[in-house]
Amino acid sequence: MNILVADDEPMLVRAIEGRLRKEGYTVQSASDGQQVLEQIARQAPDLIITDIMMPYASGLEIIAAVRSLPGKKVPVIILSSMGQEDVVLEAFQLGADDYITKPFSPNELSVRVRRLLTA
Amino acid sequence: MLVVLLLLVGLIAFMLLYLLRRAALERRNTRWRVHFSSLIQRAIDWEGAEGDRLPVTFRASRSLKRPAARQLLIAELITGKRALSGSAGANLVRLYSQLGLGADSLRKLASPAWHRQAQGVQELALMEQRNQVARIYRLTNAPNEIIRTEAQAAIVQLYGFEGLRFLDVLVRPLSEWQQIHLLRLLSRTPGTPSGKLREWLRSTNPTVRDFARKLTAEHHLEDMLDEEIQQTE
Repeated sequence: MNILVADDEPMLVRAIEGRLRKEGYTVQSASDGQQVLEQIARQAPDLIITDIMMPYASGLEIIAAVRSLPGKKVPVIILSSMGQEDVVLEAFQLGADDYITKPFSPNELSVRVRRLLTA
Repeated sequence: MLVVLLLLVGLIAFMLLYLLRRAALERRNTRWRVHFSSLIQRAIDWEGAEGDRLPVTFRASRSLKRPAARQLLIAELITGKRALSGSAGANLVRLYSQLGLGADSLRKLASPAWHRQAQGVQELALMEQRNQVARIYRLTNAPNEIIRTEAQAAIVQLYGFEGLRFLDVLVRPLSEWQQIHLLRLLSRTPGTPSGKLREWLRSTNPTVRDFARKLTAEHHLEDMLDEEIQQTE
């Protein structure tokens, strides 16, 4: 299973990458929205974990782009420090599958990833 | 003409040296980040018992002899602590304590630069260094507003409603923005305002009185406020 992790904080990307690799997933990473859009265009991953506030394209734009792709539906988990109700609702309305607010537990993230990939 | 030419050559040489130096520092920081990355990763995934020490790689401990490397690691741990909760967040705090990085943060409190002091306060609070509360508490009445607000927020982060005891002695203004910030921090804390609330409603500091009124409204203690108003009248 191939997971794309996008966050503009390298330390956090490394931490999530490390955890997911340990669980047997193949992980790609991106540090801005543009990189995510390019990687999706090349080859859609099996799951995307993305922050909302990122340079060039936000997590919300990424959801919209992913949902416009033909073929199988790629699950998207939003991982953001923005916990405001309107942002969370907008993310779900655009088609996010899950929303995790920072600070988050990596154990909880692992469980949610597994749940979405086995659904 | 010659002077201008010499100045130009000097300027170019300075810029080149500066860029080379910056590139060298960036390479060094990248190397350290690689060392620390595995250290942090191990800490995040660590499942040891209470008294056990977190594993520290040889390369990381060698790098940590340099103060700049220690500062880089503190910055990485702070970023991690802001983003991670649960056992992962707790392990980052444990790593910070185990490596004695609190001493580096503490040194910042003695710095003459206000931004260094504010940074030190933030680091100690985020890394839950409750043993340094006395040092932070002294800064809750600091003349510099940024240091003061950071220290007040730190105390509330560490001790919740108990931390509000700095209001007893606060003689400087508590800005509207800071009041909102403190209320937001307190909204994530269990408990209610202490019995000191009546004293704060009578404080000689008008901004403390204002904040106390907001606290009574937030915690539906309007009766207390009414009693105080009646007594004053």
